[in-house]
Amino acid sequence: MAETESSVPLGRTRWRRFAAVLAPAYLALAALVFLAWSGVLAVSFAISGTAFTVTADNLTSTGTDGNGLGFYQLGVVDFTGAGTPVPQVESIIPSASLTNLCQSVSVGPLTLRITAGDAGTPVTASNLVVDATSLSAGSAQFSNINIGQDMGQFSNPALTAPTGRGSGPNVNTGPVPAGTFGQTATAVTINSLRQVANGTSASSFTLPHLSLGFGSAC
Amino acid sequence: MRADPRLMDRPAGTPEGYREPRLRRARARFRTWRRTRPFWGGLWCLLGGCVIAVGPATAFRVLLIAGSTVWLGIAVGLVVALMGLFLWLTPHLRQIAGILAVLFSMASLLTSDYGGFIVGLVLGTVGGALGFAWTPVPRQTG
Repeated sequence: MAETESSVPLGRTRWRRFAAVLAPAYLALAALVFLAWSGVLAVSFAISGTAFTVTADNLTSTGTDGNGLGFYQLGVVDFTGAGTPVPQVESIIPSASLTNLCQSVSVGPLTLRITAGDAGTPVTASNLVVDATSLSAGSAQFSNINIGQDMGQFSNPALTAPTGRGSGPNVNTGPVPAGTFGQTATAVTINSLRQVANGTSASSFTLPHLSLGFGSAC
Repeated sequence: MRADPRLMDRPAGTPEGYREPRLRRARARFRTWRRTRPFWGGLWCLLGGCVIAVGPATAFRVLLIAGSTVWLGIAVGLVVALMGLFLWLTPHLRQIAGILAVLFSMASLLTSDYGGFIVGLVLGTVGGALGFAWTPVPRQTG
């Protein structure tokens, strides 16, 4: 055993090799962080829970989905953890661009504030779904709006309605029943948007100039 | 087990079969073990992997949601820690283990709370690079 031990060589660190590995790694890392900061990389996330305030100087739909529509809005009933039904206005925008997005939520005694999309680079999101209890705007402009549309006739993966309280943190969803009242438009532009939302989800959300911290509400 | 003669000089006239005190023998064995592998590289990788995995692990309520990405965040941290173990136990694999530790630590930036708030990322990359850069020095004979 002692012989085997003494035949294993001692070693030292070759610092040039160390730098040769670390330098490209940190350069790549810096490039990654820069890309994420400048909005090329998309970060997808889903938020749900207590009400939070969302404001934006401008919300514009930038494209349409397979149905040729850029905006859906319908009433849904979502469920809290205890199973209490809470009516919501659900807005689905397949492709959205937001300028000066501000989002704030109370975390205990403090307010967490997230801002993004200023200085000429707007926030972009795809399949943006917002469940809100109130929505107000300075001005709203719709193109080819249909009010009183039967929302059950559309097929869009984001267009689902909660059907019941599921298990754990999930709420069971199903297709929107036929005869559900809603409105659609091929394009929408909303200025000075203010929403009290309970849930937001997006299949991808790109936030240039993202800034997160504790501060005042939006 | 005899203490490593390279690390402990015995004064002339020491009777054969004399054994050093246990604590000194244990420390000498540890010192040998430590110097025959990229010890510090493995240690930083282990610590970095744990720091990376801790962030997502606190979201244990979210863990059971199907398709949640919390498992991926924990897995990346575990891989980095595993690479640290490889550096310790199989030093002949140090190049691959070191490179993998660096790559997974960089991936943790996106998967695990920005690489354990950067701390886990730095520990993992430095540890992996140390492991990669470690070289055995041929023993002088005689």
